[in-house]
Amino acid sequence: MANATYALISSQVLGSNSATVTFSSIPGTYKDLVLIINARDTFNSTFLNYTFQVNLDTTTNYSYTTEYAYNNAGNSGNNGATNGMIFSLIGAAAPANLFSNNQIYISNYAAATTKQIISKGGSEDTVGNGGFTGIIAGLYKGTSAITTITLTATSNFLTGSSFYLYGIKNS
Amino acid sequence: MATQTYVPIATQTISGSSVSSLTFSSIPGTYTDLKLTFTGVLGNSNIINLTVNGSSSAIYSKYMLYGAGSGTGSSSSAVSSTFLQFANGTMTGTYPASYELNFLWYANTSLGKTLLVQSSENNASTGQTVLTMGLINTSSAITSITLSASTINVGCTATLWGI
Repeated sequence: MANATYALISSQVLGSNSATVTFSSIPGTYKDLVLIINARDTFNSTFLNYTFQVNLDTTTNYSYTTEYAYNNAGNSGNNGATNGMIFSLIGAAAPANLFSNNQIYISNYAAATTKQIISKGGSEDTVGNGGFTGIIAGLYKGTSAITTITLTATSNFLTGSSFYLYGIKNS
Repeated sequence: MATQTYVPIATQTISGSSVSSLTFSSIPGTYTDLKLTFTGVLGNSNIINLTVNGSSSAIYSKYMLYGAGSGTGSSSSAVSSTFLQFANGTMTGTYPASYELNFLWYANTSLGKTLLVQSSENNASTGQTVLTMGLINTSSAITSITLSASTINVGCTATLWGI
């Protein structure tokens, strides 16, 4: 039997609203990490930001380029030297039965080098009439292995939001 | 040994003669998410349609980000449809297209199902890459997935994974 190369490290399904979600003590035994997020914010807006940080680092070690579709138009932007990467998810103004779908891929997270981070995802904010779809190419300039990931909502991640962290091996 | 979390549920490879659809049915509800990968040359310029649970009701909608040819990324939205497509208009159908479809919370019985899809095709002179957020507005668990096209040619392969 082939080796299992895609392993669940940890998961969190929120039993109550939470402003932050943290994965800590991430083992360095994988090559890459994948974080799968199905979530929404409690704030009364259609789309809201949430912040991605690693290793409790709040310095300007983050930069990212975004390409996204919103309001029936394509957009792009560069964000250099920020203190976290900003991703998007839907909020309380969106239909109650919708959650955003996001995937964050972190390559070589345990290496003593800078880290490349790709995020993709979005959601409809009204059924059949609009939404947000985006992809982000990010860089974390810290050279320590990533052992902690922190996600911070605009207000709170809603009860029931789920976060699954997977480790990927290449052998 | 780590727990195996990326499990092939079923694979279908078209052989013998082409078909117009392929279906994964009796999908167990025991995984958190599903991933469906597909590659191959299709009739109608590599356009493929997705439906679930045999439903042709207007429960499908999408929001796309795409790059086509030398053009920059743009977007498109669709009103509720009876199926989902993941291309910006017509692709060429000369070379195989690739699709990766991610279904989150597919077994949930109270929420709409979000679908994150990457699709691409390149024919050595032009092509397109598309990122689609799809929504299947049903509270039913997804137990079957159907891909259809005017022609799904011999050699096309689809694999359904449970995660």
